[in-house]
Amino acid sequence: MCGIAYRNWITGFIILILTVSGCVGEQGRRPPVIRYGRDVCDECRMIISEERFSAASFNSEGEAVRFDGIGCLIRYHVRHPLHAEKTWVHDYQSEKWVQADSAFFVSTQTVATPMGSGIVAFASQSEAARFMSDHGGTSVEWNNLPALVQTQ
Amino acid sequence: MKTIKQISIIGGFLIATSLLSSSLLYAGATVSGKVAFEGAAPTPAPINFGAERQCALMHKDKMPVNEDLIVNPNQTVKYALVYVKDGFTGDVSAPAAPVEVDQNGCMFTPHVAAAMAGQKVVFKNGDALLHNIRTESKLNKMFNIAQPIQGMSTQKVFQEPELGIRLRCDVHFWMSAYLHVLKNQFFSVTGDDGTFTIKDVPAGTYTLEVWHEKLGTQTQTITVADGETKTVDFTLKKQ
Repeated sequence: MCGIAYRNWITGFIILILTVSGCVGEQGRRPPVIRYGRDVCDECRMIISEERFSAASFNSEGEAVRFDGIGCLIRYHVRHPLHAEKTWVHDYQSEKWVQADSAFFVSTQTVATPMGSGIVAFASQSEAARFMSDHGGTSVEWNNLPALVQTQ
Repeated sequence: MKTIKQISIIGGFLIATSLLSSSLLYAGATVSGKVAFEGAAPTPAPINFGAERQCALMHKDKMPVNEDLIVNPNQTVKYALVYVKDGFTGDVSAPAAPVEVDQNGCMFTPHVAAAMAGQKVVFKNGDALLHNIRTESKLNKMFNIAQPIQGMSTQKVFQEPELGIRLRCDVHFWMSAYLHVLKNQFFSVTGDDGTFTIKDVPAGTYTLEVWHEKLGTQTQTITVADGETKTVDFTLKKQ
């Protein structure tokens, strides 16, 4: 009887450890949830309202950080470096999450982003090119976004 | 020369006649009235600007008040929306002219604005202060735009009819306004005299509704004929 109880206890503990590990691992693979209209931007403190501009990441402490726009994401990133593979932005057209290290960024004056950075993202280069053709703007690499934002 | 002159006169007469006759053929009804308040008129509370001295300094002469319930001196309600809720089935297109919502003295002006679905709404910052415009909409996309510079304007279009979209500025917590997005052009917002006027309503039977942020809603059924002027009054009271 005691042996069965002990085995059950060990089994349950192992399952618990695996579950927690899965959650931590999952945390790094999926963007944090943003409650639109409720969560505030961790940079400018404005309430995050528009999905297509919002961004999120996990900082060096593993905490979820959320932003109302790519401009705020980058301003935060300048002070607290974020990993692009653990950072997500939204495709401006489809509003789906895109990992920052595979997104295509456009700096434009024709889109009113929440804090006025004018930076939008796309999941594909063709979509970014089509946007620039229709609305103007220039493409910007992830690594060059800090320099761009700091001039604004 | 004489012939050209004669032709011009006749042509002008014909054009004028056709325009006049077409306006007579389609002379929609005018629905007007007032939104009265029943009960003792409340005294609106003055705005508490808190630590925002710059906002307070813009109102040296007269401090603004909370506008969520303004009862005019003639015992009527300001900022009530009156609109045709049901009964109109015609095709409409949004006007080209935009509706404007401004921020002056750290207050939204007007407190209640109304636009047609698909009509441009321009949000302006008339103050030399940072404001942001945040919408709390359910049917239309929410947005939150910072306006740090005086004179900045942001244009938006709301595609879905939706009443009572609340506008907030999160920098100045007391700032609050409402935007109504209507499916047709038959609406009016009451002003300092509590009256409303809705023009060019085609002949027919309609549900007319009044909407107020604190006093709720009320409806009346009206039937109008072409060219008729119909008076409809509402009386609202605290719930």
